[in-house]
Amino acid sequence: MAALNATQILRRLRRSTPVALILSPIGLLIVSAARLLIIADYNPTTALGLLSSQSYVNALLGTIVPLVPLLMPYAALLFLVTRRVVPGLLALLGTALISPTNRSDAAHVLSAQWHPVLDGGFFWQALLFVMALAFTILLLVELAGVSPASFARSAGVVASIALLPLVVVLYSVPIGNTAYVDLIRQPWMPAEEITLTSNQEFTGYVLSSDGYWLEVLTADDRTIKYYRVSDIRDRQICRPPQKEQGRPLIALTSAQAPVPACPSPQPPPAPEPVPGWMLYRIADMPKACLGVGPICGLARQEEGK
Amino acid sequence: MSRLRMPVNTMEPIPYTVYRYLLPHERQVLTVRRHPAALIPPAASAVGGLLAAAAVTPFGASGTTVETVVWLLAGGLLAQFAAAIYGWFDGYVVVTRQRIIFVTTTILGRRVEQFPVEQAKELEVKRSSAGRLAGYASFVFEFDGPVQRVIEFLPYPDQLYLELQGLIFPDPADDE
Repeated sequence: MAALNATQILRRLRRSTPVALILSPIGLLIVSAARLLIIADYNPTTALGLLSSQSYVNALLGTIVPLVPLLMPYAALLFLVTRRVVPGLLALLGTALISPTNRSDAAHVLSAQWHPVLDGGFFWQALLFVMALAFTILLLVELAGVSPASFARSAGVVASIALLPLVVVLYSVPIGNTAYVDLIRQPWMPAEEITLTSNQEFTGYVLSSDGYWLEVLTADDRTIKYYRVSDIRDRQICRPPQKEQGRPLIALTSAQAPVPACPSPQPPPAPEPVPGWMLYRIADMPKACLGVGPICGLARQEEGK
Repeated sequence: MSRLRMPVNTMEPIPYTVYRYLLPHERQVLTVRRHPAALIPPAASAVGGLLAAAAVTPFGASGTTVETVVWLLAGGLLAQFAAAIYGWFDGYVVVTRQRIIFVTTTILGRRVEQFPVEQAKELEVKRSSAGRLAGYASFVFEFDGPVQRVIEFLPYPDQLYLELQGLIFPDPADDE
């Protein structure tokens, strides 16, 4: 029996090579590197900055975990189509528990899917009935005469076809969907609304802080900036401005904790027209002149001459 | 399958697919196809796939791409069933006094495996309730080392079992 088990294990491992490759460290590294580049707006320097400020485990898990709910429904279908019933059922369960759906009326959608069958003509219904009868008999014979595993594989692959339209309606295809793009672009750290002592407000993701400097990835232009901790007046965790994320089909908690929405990025203010009599705008003055007034600028201009 | 040739040392017709793998001095003891019940799993998948596709197709809200994918999947299952029928016609289990040959044919090619009869250490027959009714069984050959070969849907299980046991455990009197 030991030989039998070893053979079966080897055969199963050989069959699940693509799955093993995706779940292998190399596969995970490739997926996480790709997502890191997306978060960094395809800037390798910013991506390296993100990586250096976070631990490798954080970066790896942080880049992978948000993708799981998005891909879980389609992974479930893929498992079922390829006759891997147990991973398929686990993925379906995971989908119901964690994947956000964009429809709150799943039961209505499910019943609507079968209305055309019930409302179809006699010929259509008779054809479907005959096919259903043949399928049931074949499945029962397979269960009794072949093996329960074979029965489950056949039922799984048929269920994947029947579930495909429903899954597409409940969980948008993660290709060309702006909600998914926003979600994938979002770093795994919580977004924060940061207010400086100069009253400047911006949204960013705090990468690290050593007590003196705060390393922040800005949300709008995805650059890494350093601020003195003493220059920070307020920090508030906020929700990035994106589409409201749906709830899973089976939500274990009744409501999400309210988190204020992050302010939308403001376009930079247009430069004010400079009066002819003003030699320097305050913003253009050397820092040493701040607080002294235009006289300093005038003096500097004189020095330049 | 289409061409039958007569072996040199027997009057039994041997399929050409099998004949080409037999040595000149080798005499086949038996050659069997699998039981047609081997086609039940692909048939169930194909019928179920068509049923599912036909049932969900009117659900037009998903768009035509989804319907196309659904019908492609159902078509794939149907093609798999057709390939299984082709493989069933051209697949054989051949037993000679020296070896057991498995000829497996698929759309992509043919695979021939062989095990010396002397190396078979154990032979187990599994018969399900449907197998008892329809007359087929699964044969489990165990060889030296962690090598095991399961052949499902073999017809005439009782006769086959006795023939194979006779080869694996020959009568000592025959050697004398």
